[in-house]
Amino acid sequence: MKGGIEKRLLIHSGERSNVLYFLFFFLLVSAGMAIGRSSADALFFKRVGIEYLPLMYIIQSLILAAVSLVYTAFADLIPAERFFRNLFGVLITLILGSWVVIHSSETTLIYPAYYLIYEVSSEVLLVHAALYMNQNMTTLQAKRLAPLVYAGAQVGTIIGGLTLALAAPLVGTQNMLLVWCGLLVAGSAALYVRHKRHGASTHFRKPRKTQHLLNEGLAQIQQGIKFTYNSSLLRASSLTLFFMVVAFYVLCYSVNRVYTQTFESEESLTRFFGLLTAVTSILALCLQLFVSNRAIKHFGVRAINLLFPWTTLASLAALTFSFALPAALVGSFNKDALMPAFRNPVHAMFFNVLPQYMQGRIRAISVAVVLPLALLTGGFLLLLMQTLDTPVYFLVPGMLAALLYLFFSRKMNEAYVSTLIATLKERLFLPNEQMYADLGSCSDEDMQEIMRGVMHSDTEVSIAFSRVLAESFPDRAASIILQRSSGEDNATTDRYLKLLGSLDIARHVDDLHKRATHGDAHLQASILLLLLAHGDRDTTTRTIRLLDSDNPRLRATAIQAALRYPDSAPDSARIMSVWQALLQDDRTTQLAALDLIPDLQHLPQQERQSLQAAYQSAFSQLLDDTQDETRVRALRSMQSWHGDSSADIQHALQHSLASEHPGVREAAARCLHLANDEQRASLLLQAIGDANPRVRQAGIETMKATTDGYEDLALQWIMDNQGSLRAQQALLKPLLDSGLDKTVFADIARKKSEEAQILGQALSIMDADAGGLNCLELLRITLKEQLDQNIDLALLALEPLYEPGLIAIIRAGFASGDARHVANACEALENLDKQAITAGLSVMLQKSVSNDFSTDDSRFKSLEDVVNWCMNHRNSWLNLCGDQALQPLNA
Amino acid sequence: MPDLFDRLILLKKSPIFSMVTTDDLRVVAQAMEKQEYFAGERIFEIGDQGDHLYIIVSGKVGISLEAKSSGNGYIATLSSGDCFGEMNLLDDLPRSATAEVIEDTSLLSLEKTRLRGLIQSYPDMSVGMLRSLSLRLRDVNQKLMKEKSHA
Repeated sequence: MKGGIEKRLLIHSGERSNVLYFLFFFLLVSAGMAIGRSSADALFFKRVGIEYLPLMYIIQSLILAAVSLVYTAFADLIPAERFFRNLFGVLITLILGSWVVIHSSETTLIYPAYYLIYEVSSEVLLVHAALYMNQNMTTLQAKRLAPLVYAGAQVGTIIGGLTLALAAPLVGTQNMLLVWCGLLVAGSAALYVRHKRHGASTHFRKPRKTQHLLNEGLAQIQQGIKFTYNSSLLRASSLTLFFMVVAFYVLCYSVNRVYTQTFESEESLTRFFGLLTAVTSILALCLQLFVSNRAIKHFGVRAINLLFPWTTLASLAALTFSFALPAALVGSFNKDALMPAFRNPVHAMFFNVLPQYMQGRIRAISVAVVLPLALLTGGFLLLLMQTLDTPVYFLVPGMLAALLYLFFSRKMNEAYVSTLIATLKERLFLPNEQMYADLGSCSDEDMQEIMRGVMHSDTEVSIAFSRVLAESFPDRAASIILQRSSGEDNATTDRYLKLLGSLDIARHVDDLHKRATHGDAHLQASILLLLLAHGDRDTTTRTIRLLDSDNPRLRATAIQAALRYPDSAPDSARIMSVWQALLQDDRTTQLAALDLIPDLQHLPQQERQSLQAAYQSAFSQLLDDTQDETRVRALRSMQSWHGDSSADIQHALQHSLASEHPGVREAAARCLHLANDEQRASLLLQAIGDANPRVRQAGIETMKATTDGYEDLALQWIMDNQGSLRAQQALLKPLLDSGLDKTVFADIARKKSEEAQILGQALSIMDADAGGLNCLELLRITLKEQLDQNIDLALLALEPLYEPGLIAIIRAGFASGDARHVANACEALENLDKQAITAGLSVMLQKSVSNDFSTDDSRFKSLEDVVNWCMNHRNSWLNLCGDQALQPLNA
Repeated sequence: MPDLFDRLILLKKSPIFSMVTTDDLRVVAQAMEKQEYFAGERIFEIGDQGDHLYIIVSGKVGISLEAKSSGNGYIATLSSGDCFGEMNLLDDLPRSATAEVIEDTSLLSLEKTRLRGLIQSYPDMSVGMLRSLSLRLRDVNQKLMKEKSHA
């Protein structure tokens, strides 16, 4: 029963106590405000006169600006609950003071003062209530729960209105001030108890300490203005607020003027206000409970944002045609029922997308600048126009303001998603394109920085920077690298010299010869190869003489020199005999012979074939070696092997792809052109789904090199759910920029979104039926992982459908794991175009984040159904988990 | 194979591997070694150079802050599914507590160097580990904030 109600009210597990507290707190505050508002209106209209109302608007605007400055100084600096306590303290003192003055003096000035106390405090309370909720809820929570919490406020308003209607005629309107005070005391107590137990607001970020709060307040307003200037959402939002306030106060004035004319005595007016408050609040409550959150969920924040501007326009139009009680009642319904039910929660959501550190400042700008300005405008407008014969004079400008309110609300909608994305990007510290561009260009300053790295005492650091230097400054790199490597041991010098392969070394030939003379055989071979590659003829004759060397690497280098410059070489029989000997000796000589694979192409066919057979045998032996490094070297050499491959090699490739050594797996992935046709696809999928990105990249490159129509095959594998989800992701990434038709990606996103929904349905059954068995628990975990990976894959597929970087930011938001970023990412996704694809995805994301997969619509009827589905799934790991889970079910 | 599935569940429940996917955890599960201890034995002492993570398969282990625990000064008593020693997998600091077997205990252990090798070989796994550790840090921060505000 309890669960059913919570489900209906969209309260998730663990949120109950939070929701109950907010309901109770807002109920108390709203009951007090309802009493304050009706009593202030009735006392002012009857004891002072409604003709002074426009003047009050003007005064109110000035006081509001000053009070807001103080509010701004404190709003972000202390937790929202502490500010509430201070505000309640001040309010209680002022109300009690007003009550004392009303009873002890004849002055009528106290009624405007009391009216102003209510009006100013209600504005601050309204703004601060939203901040308080934001400090305690995420966007998604606010979206679900804000209408409910505001409904609690409506119950409070109903109670307040009814109390006033019943009690005011008995005890007098002026004594209702004491009831308001009592409710404020109760609200303070609720705050105290709540935060004593649960600590400060969850999302409150303590700012740095400051000694100058007022200056800080002004600075916050300045920052807020600057932020408003730069943000399209805030510019539209400020103008929206301005015109809404003008239209709203014209409407308020109009309906109050009708009511004051209709109800002649103070008692009847107070009773009417009390009843009106209760009735409009009941209507607002019904809307909030049964319509608001569902309407927002169904139509989205942006559609509902336009509702109140339209109804305000309609209300003012109705009053223009008939300035009487029915039209005034429509106006009251609009401002007292529709506004809290739709406008206020949606407005809070718009602010929620802004960076948290700016939210308080922006709210302060609204109250300190925009609201007073709008009030001042509305006040002057009414003051000037009310003396004219007919209300049309102020209603028409009111309608114009409502039209502009509607216009800027549309502008707000346009800026909503882009602001969500910008906020996410800022909070996730994602680099922009300029930063990539900066990294790509090299200035003299960069050169200095790289030089520092090259000259670093740590060899690994130095070699890494030398590599960067060779790529960034190829014209200057050779001499610097040679200078840095002098004095290093042979092995280290060899690593440095390998970086010179693509550089111009013409000026350093003598130096290199000198180093070859003093180095060991390995270094000597490396230098000779380097010089041969650069076409140094003197090196050739010197190298060919090494055919008789004891060192196999030098012999291999000599063969290379002989093959490249045959006019200086001995007869080919001699070369072949040295080569054959290399392949038939031990593994050291076989490894040296691997360097000669590219040179096979220079041989006549018969000689090549005899060597190929010897190589096949050498490969088998080397791949069987226990040393990972030997296997890596053999596999790397085999990348350029295009002859036949034996069954031993096929087996060795499979074995190497499962190796724990990432270098072995990467090298094996690059040799998959040697795999036979039956095995190649599954081995490629295995490599492309590897947990090491280098292996994945190697797999993708091999697939591209060995497959005609790579894109078609990759798409087919993704759509058919072949391989792991990581493999599918690796396959999809290169396709994103390939210029394929966008419908292809939309199809993938739709397919993966559907798969995610099925996984969600499976999880729903698992959550309901799975016992404590480990294999079922593991299946549940695996299903959840697959769901998340499917969602991520669907999002990845969406990338080409939207402007560059947009989906990447949303994905980063989800990956952050931070509830606020996830909530904003969900909200952004829901408000993107192409709703048909993104809507289902967003629902699954929200389910995944909240870990609540309950659904009324499932393709599975039982746990057995789920397990059978997993067993027939193409994903091998899900398959295995399903198979394992079946055993206890069968037992 | 059933043993592998049980190990995976234990690993998924451990704070350091909770965010690593089960598919990636298979290699870790296979790298774990089974160890048996009898009641009264010490698994490690405070100040020892820690090089293993332990997950309790069955039995009970007491954690104390003294080198010579008397048996009743445990700050925590761990049982099946609990994990300890995990921070030593990533830092090289000595053990900050003593672990003593209260009841005959069966453990799965993972050696630090073995894990580091696996991380190098399967770097995607380390992203999950970082997420797990980050979540743990957040939890601790929130607890501290709560305690501070209560104080």
